[in-house]
Amino acid sequence: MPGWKSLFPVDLAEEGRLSRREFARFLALVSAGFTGGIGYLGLRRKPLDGAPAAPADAPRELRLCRADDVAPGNSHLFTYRDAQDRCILVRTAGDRWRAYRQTCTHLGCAVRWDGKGLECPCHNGRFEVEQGFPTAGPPTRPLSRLRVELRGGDVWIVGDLEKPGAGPGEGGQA
Amino acid sequence: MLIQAYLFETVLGAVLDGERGMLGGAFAVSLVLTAVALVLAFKAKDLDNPE
Repeated sequence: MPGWKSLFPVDLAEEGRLSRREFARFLALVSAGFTGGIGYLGLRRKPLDGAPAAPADAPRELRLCRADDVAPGNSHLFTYRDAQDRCILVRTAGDRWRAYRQTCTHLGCAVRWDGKGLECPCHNGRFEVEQGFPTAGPPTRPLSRLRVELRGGDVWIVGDLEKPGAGPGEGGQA
Repeated sequence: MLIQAYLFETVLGAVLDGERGMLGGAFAVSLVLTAVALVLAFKAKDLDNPE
């Protein structure tokens, strides 16, 4: 027997062998990781990207522009709660106002208005403009929507709207 | 493990949708599953038998 074999007496076939107990410990460790992840989501106060702000956040009112500044069929970009909270205001061809966070619900790219709907250029996701539902591509959740009000010819953003289909909360939309 | 992965994916989707109500229940279920896995991994006697 070569000298090195006596120093490292591990058979190659045995080296890759995983006992049932080791495998069970691996599963338990991964399971604990998932539990820790759920616990982290519960303890985290700041919303995840694309998620609406926590209810504790006070609604903030923001005067955006004059209604005449945005022609029907056009959009206007703005930031809402902070400089990272990028949003888009759309005045539809039917003269309805809609505002959404620009964060795509797939992987967080910025959506943009293309005249017919909101599109995400990263993976060709599309959202309809009325309620922000995904209509094509990989996104499966609707966009985060903001409440728009017209006051004396000015366009105001006055808070977050609930996700569509989550119950009442559609009122007040211009 | 599959149950844990499915549970975590569901919870993550719900949190992204702004629904945090299920977090407590999901955490409890996950904790129970982890406890069972730990007991099996460290206390089960049959795991060391080659058969």
